[in-house]
Amino acid sequence: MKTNRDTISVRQLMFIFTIIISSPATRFLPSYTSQQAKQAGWVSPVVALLPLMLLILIMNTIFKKYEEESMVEIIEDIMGRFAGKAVTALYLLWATWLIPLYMRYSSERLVSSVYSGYNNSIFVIINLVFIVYIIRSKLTVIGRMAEIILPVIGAFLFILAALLLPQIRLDNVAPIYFNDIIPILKASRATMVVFAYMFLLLFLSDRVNGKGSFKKLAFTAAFVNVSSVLVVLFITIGVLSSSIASRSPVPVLLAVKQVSIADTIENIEAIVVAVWIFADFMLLSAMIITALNIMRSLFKLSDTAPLLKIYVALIYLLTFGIAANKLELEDFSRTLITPVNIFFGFIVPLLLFGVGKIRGKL
Amino acid sequence: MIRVWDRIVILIVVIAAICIVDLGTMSKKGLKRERIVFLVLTGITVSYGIYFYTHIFSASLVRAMFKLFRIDI
Repeated sequence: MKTNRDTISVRQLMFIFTIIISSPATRFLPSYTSQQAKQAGWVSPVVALLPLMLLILIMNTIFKKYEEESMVEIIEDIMGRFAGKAVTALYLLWATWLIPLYMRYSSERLVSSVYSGYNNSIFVIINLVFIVYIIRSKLTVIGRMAEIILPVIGAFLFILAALLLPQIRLDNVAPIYFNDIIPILKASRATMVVFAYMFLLLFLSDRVNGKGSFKKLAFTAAFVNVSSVLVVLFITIGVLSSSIASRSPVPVLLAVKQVSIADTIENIEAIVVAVWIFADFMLLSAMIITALNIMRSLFKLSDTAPLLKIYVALIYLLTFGIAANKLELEDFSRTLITPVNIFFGFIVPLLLFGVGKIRGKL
Repeated sequence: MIRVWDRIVILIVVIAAICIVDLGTMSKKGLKRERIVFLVLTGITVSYGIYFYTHIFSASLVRAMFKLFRIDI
């Protein structure tokens, strides 16, 4: 089902993907990787590059055959109508699970880092109102927003890396021995969890133009993402050490608090909070649009705009019903979300490719 | 302090307002499939909302998942 209006380019999709990565990368990755691989944790994103590249190659092959179809139509054609619908319904459930999870994380992070004592429902309501307003203005607006926000985030990361360079202690990030390989492989699962959102975003494929350049742009995005995640981990572990990074609730914020230039430029963590707010907003908007797009293709709807408000109302309730406290959320991230995201983000596309080859569809 | 039933009444009023606006728009445009999906979503939202507000201190989907997959934390 190709729509001529409200489309974005592959480049804009990759911009959205890169911004989406930045939110969980700064929240979840430093503590998880330093817990798993200690001082070698910062190397783990390099390992996660391989499955991401494999996913890009698989999707490129699929898009060569199915240029105009939506991802739901592609899955239904390859796996058969019934199995395809079942798989797509699972993806809808996955997205509907992730949105309240990130909404809750977003509000909890603001409460625990800056606005302590505030009721987090205020942040959830404000976020959802703005998301409804922006999504009503179509996907193109999100694509253009990503083009504006990403250079700002990139520049901030570059400046932050430069400012924190003198604070990095090399004995916090070295030495790395051969016996660190297994811990690094274990730590790389966390980066794979985050990279799994590439496949979820590709459910917008029927609203993406110029898929001919998908491979080139996706590879560029993959290298940029791996490099930026690597820099974030190197800075955080290098400044704080793996033992502090693994125990701190928000290690990146703690590392940024160490920035001090001639005792005049200090407390720049407010910029990190601003970046988080933008990144979370983009992440949640993109995921809600993706979920609505899955619904549109799954139920053959002509318009999903009337479903937006009721879906967001459900998200609001799920945001508070998903977990009783932050501890439960973190336990969930450490245990269940890793296999679930890797399954939906990497294994199902691989199965899709295998079934497509066996049935002669690809 | 807002009581449980006050929360449920607020939820139903908000959902009713959304229904009036969106179902009206869909009827005008003749979107039949959309109306069915909308009503199903509304049903899920209202029933989950009532469950959540009546079990506000014990409702946790994550805990339910841990029980389902028998994960000890």
